[in-house]
Amino acid sequence: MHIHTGFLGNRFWLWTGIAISLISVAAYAIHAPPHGRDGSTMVGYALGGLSGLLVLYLAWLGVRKRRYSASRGNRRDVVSAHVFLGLSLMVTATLHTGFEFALSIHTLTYMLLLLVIGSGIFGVSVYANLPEIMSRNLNETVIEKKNFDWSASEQLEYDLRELDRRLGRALQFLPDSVRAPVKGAIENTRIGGGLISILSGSSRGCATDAALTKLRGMTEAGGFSDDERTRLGEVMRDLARKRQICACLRRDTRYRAMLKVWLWLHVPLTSALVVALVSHVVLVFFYW
Amino acid sequence: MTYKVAIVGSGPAGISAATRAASMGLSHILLERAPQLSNTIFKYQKGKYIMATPDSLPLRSEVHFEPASREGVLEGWAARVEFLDVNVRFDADVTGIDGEQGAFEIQLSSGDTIQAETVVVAIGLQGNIRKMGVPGEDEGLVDYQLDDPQEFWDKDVVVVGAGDAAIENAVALAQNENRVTIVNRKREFARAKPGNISLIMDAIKDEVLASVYNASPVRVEGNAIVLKTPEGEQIVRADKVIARIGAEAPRRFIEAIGGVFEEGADFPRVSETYESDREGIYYVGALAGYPLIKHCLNQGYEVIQTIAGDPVDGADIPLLTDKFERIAAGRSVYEVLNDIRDRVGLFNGLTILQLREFLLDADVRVYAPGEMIIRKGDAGDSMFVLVEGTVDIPVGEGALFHIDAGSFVGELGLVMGRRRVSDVLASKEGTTAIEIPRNAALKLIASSETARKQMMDTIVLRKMQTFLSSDLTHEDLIEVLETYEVVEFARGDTLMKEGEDAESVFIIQSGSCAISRIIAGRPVVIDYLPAGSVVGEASLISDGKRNATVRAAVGVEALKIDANVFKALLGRSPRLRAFVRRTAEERAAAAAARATGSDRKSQIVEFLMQNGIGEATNAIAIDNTLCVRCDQCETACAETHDGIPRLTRAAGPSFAQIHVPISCRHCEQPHCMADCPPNALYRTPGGAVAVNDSCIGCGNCARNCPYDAIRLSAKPEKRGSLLTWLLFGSGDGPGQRQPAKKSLENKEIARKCDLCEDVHGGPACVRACPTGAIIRTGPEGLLEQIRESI
Repeated sequence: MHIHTGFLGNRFWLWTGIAISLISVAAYAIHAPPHGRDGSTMVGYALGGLSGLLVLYLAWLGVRKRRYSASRGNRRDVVSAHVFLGLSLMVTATLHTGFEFALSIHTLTYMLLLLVIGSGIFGVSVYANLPEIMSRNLNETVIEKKNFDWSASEQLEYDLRELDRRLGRALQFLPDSVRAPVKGAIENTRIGGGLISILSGSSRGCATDAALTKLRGMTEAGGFSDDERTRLGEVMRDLARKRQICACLRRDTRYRAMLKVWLWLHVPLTSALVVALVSHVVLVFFYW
Repeated sequence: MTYKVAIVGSGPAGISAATRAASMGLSHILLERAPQLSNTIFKYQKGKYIMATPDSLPLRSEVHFEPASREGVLEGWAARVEFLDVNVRFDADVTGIDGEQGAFEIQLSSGDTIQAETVVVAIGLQGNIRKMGVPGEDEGLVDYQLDDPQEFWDKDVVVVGAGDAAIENAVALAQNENRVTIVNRKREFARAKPGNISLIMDAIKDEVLASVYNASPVRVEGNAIVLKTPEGEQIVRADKVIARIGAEAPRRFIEAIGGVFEEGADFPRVSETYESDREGIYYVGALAGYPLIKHCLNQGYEVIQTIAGDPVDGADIPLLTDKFERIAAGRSVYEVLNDIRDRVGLFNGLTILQLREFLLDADVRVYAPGEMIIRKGDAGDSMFVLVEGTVDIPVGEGALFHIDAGSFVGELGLVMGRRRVSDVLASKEGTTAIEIPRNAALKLIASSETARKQMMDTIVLRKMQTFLSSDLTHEDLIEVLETYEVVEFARGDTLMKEGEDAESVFIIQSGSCAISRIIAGRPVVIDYLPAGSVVGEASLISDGKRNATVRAAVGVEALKIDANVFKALLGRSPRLRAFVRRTAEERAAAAAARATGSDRKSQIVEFLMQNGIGEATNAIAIDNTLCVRCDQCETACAETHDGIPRLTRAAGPSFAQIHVPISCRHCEQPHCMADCPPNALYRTPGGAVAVNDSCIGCGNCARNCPYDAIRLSAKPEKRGSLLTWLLFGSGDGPGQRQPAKKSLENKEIARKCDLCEDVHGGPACVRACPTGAIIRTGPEGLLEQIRESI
């Protein structure tokens, strides 16, 4: 349920994209020259020209989005156009190839194009799905909002600090044997890290998790007084909550990373595509 | 010898009088009780910045004055006194004045007497500081001022008082690592400026200093002060006690020298030439009721001109003459002022001196017939007082509502803080109106009880006649006018509760309310009521029980009309009955429709109300199911505003999928405007609350904003180009910006959202969002969008 209208809700560019695809397919189907359908027929040139222009227009988004004070247009509509025209580009460019592939700059250009569009499709899918999953992830983990003008992540960060403080206080009442893991949970719990660990979002090796497992094993083995058991129960409850929050924040970090990481492919590949495209055009017209 | 004039007190008024006398060659003497000039300002906290308000008033004095530090002002004045060879006598404490005009004898505490023909008393109020009046206070532990907070470090300091001076001192001391306790005689801090109230409340909340409420000092002993609190006596350790409990006119002294205090007045009576009831003795400055330095300087000058037999008009008179030129028709400005005061009911309770001060900020406008004075839907917050002619207000279906000279229009925009609700057109040739800006109008209502009462009466009357039922006559409404009350509600207070008996009807003047009903055992917010709404009337035609709960979503001011009085009106006016029935049905239908909507939506509305969206006119709402956290909105904001973003996307409250980031909401009654010394905050015609160049960076607005939407910042360096950065490494790289460095030329001033009114296409944050997650809209639009979603 969106309250606002998102970038996929733009009917105009959706239909424009569909129209371009349908017209291209129709032209490709109707026009059947004797030497076969390839890039050098009339329709082939038209499709190629259209695809080339589309690539340049789509790449221009990178410049446009940084022109913050330019008065015309809304970035949402520009993004809608980018998405739907980009998808139709897959049709026009594919038809332009005439399904003739070889080990050449031409096929390389096409492959780059597919990679760019593919990464773009991934981008669209994360843009469309992750925001909702992210806010659900955070909202579901918040138990009680202490301050109504905090956001969910601010509340969770507050909870973490509070838990660490409580665990820190509890340390002095705990038997020596359990102190080390709890201390480890306070000091060595990490959220984030390298690219792989961020993208995996996994809580493997989490110090809090380790401490909890260790304490659980120790309490099961017994050997604590009643008083100590009560305290350990409290500490374990706190550790479990901390583990839950950390897992939630790791997932959150992972989602954030996913929203960005595809651009690391999409943007450089676009640059490569533009270079390849220029070479392709130059080669076609001057060295054929 | 007998001086032409003796001036008592060397504050701003005294110095200005003495320097004028000296430069005119009048024989004079300036008597100062302290061993230095301008003792009150001398005792200001070191480095205190002194404001030169009101801006619109020209300065006329032999001494120079513009906003500067305490030291700068004092040095300038002292140099001028020396240059003009003013005859000053220090340590001269005046105890009494004998004789009469032409031959006064002024007694000093040293036993000397001084002869003078006239006396100008410019002693201000600060010479008469209130003391605690408890045993032990004179033994050195207690001070009544704080020269320099840096003098104290790591000490226990008790500050007594709850006014501005006490708060400023307490906070300054606490910041210098002292253990400070502030002692407040009352339950809360209400007397101080709003900015200082939030300053002290924050300091108490953050435990920067301690506070004791409902406490009064009993005695001072050793290194401690004993306080009486509701819980009994409390002893507080103190290396120093600083008591800042105000000052008052030295009544006994003034009465002894022939001054007269009218019933209930805080200041002695003076004529328009500042002469007291005893001829030949003049009171100027704070003693005459004008505490601003600029007023004091001007009055000192004027009084000497009067005494020298060459009276001048006030410095404001030429400005006023210019202003009223078009309507003066040969009359003097005084005649015009008197005429205006008599003609306009709102001004009846003012003295001419007050009226002059007040009209200085106003503008006189003359309109052709049919010319538009106010346009419906504009974001205006000034008020128009009609001096001449009449105006028409179209109230639907070709009906016109007339308002005659002597009355006023535009008061709703002022009081409610919303866009203009109707057009106002001049109907006669030569229709003349005085446009009064928001702050001046608010000052008028605050300073004159007559004006306030008249304004409220008119609002009630117009509300009833134009919007409820035009067949009600003034006579029908007399009982309403006699019985209505103005009531205030804090955020969250209940105006009426579902199921209770209906005892009153409310007209919401300012702020807004949330209506909720118990549905399936739980309260569900079903609607939002903006300022201008009438609420509570529906139950009067049904069973007399409230069918919903109404709570204040923000601070609300409402007019309360007794249910029986309103019922009597219903009996008299069939149109009113029809109107009430219709709105009741509409509301019931809307409530039924909304009550069946999702619980989640109602919770979102409730959340928005809790977060003050009710008082917004234009706020940002982010849909978290669309937001990809790219922060393009913030970048776009910074890029369109000198590199300083006025929006913090990630911060701020969120609930379910709605997130309200920290950014200006352009409130109906902007909290930031409440206490701006240079009046730099204003509402643009487009409806944005903006800051102009006169900002001095005092930070009051930032402290007053409950939503943290204003930041103080200097201007960052201009960004270099990408190419020079790439080639030479000069300037900031993409996405980086050096933090702004403040300097004397590049001061920190208030930066806030201006709705990108200078940029075509609307707010940059909204335009820059790639996914359409962010919108900027008023509460009505937002709530509508929430209801329509799914």
